[in-house]
Amino acid sequence: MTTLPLGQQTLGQSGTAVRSGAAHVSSARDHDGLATVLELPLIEPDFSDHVVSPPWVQSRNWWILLVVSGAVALVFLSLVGYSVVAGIGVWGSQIPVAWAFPIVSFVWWIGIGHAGTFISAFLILLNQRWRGSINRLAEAMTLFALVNAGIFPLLHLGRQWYAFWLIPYPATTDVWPQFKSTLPWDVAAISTYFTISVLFWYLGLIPDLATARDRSPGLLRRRVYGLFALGWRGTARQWRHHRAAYIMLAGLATPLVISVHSTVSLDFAIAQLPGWHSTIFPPYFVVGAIYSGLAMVIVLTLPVRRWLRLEQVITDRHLDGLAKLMLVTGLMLLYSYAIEQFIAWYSADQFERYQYLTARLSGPYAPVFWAMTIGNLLSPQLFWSARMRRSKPALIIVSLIVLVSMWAERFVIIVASLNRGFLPSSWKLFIPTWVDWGILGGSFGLFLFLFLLFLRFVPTVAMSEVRRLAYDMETEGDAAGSSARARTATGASHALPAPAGPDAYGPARGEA
Amino acid sequence: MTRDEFRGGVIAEFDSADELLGAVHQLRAQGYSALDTSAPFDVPGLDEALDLKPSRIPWAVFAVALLGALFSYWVEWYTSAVSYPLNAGGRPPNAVPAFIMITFEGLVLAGGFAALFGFMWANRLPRLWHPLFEVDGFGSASSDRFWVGIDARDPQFQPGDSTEALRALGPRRVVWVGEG
Repeated sequence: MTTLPLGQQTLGQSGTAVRSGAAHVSSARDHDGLATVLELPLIEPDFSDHVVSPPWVQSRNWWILLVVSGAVALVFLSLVGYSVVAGIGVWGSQIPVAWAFPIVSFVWWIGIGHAGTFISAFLILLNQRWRGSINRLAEAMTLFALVNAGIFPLLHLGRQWYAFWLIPYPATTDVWPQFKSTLPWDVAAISTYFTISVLFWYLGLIPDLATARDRSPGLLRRRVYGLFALGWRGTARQWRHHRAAYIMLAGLATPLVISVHSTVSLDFAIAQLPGWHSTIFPPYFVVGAIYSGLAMVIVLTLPVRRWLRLEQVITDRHLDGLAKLMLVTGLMLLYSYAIEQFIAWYSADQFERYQYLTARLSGPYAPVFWAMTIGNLLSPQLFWSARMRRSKPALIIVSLIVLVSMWAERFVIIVASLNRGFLPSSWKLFIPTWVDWGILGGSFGLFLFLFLLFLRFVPTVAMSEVRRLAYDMETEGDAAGSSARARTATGASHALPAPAGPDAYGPARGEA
Repeated sequence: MTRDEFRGGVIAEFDSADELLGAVHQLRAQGYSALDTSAPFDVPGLDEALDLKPSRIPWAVFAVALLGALFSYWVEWYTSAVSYPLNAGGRPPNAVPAFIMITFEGLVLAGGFAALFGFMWANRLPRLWHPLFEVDGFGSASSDRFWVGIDARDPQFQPGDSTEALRALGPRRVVWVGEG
């Protein structure tokens, strides 16, 4: 046994080299008394069968939730219908606050969607294999958030039956969309984003749909899943093309997701209005989007993990990773807030200064501004602590605070800016009507309804990816330090030199 | 490997990906060339073992994405600068910066469709029926078993010998598939 390098001595008990399995566990504790998260296995490779079975949840709670969320979704659809029939004057929007709740919700829901694409596309390009257990869930969240997000701007057109005017079809009137405006950009960005998200999701699903086909109990299910599985047989040739196409879609979706919220931010940034006319908007919006989306992923993952008993594949490593990502994006948001305020002051423009330094800090919507600032900037700081990153109550509470605060942020940007424009004589307070509140609340019903259907009918965990991950951990893992158990079995210890081979799970602490 | 995909012949079922890889290597060493496998996940090393060339889908995606970008820009240019020029905020009829966003979205949209349809075309999917689906228990190929097959079109294929060659690898079972 060689002498431990200096940095590793604190890990072992009293600085001695550790040999036995029991001592190994104690050596893997940090100052919080918890096992260092990178010591934990990414997933438990010998996960039980239900984890990689098609879901087919049979539960009374599922039905209760489905009925409740379905009822809320019906309220949402009725209010959407009411807004179409009666006209959008039933909302609180007016002049100068022509954009209010629906646009706030649109920006917020689009942002929620971003985390799903972030997890599935960014992380696969970065070879972060931990995404495998949660990407399906996160991508489904993206799709359903986009369904909601798509309804709002369409509704906001006022005369929704002319929505097809946004498409450049050859009309006898010779009138085309005005492509120098940001609004047709929005149409292109959102519809592309939704389409690509569906394609990406579906391509990843094909092998799992084949599993569902092969394990379905009834003929009808076999046929339905079989139809969607397209006749997938998992041959080496098919996998080769699947891999290539999947990476291509990931490579396309990654810049796409950045472009989408950038486009959304340009709706504002291209206008002259103080509070909107800012060059930091595109990155600021993208960061905020991923931040709020990660919060939604946590809010959805924790109950689903418990409900479908997925603890073996959605482990503390995943929670820890999500919390860290939230902390990072939260810090980037802090930077954006600071720069926004600073530039407003530095511009020496009286309208900018008034908007940022007076109206927001002490104007009529100041409580919303302070809620957003405190909620978004302070709450994720909890995640500096490893204990908090794995505490379920902390994760849920912080995520809910972040979701509300991010909605508040969009409210501040949109409503507080419009409310105090250049001309004080046209300042007018915005007060939401019951229809505004109903549509906002109802959109959650639709979202939950669709998500519950997803849990029931679609493989929730990317089965083929989890199987591949388990295989990789088996072949590289017992040497690569991803599984404490495997190492204990072979009697290896921290003092042994770090083994060769790919180390996608991150090095164990003692082997760094 | 000249043959494209497995149509019929003799197949064997294995318990693990490593056994599958070992079997493919041994069959290749014995001179079989028309081999194919079915596995529940993308087993690393199979491409090399079967001597498969890299997929050409990326090239298709590249070409189609480029066309999508060109088409999107063309629509914007034609409608705004040719068909009905309109002075919007003093921007020139062909306002390049304003047209970039949609050009990019067109690129991504076309590329995405090329990826999915390229995948389907390369794999000849959808193909809802296949001789393999007639094999009892072949469904395990999408869960936790690994299959390798010798195609009857393999020049070295001899019904008896090939079955024996597969049996010698210690599979769970060996099954005949297809018309042969």
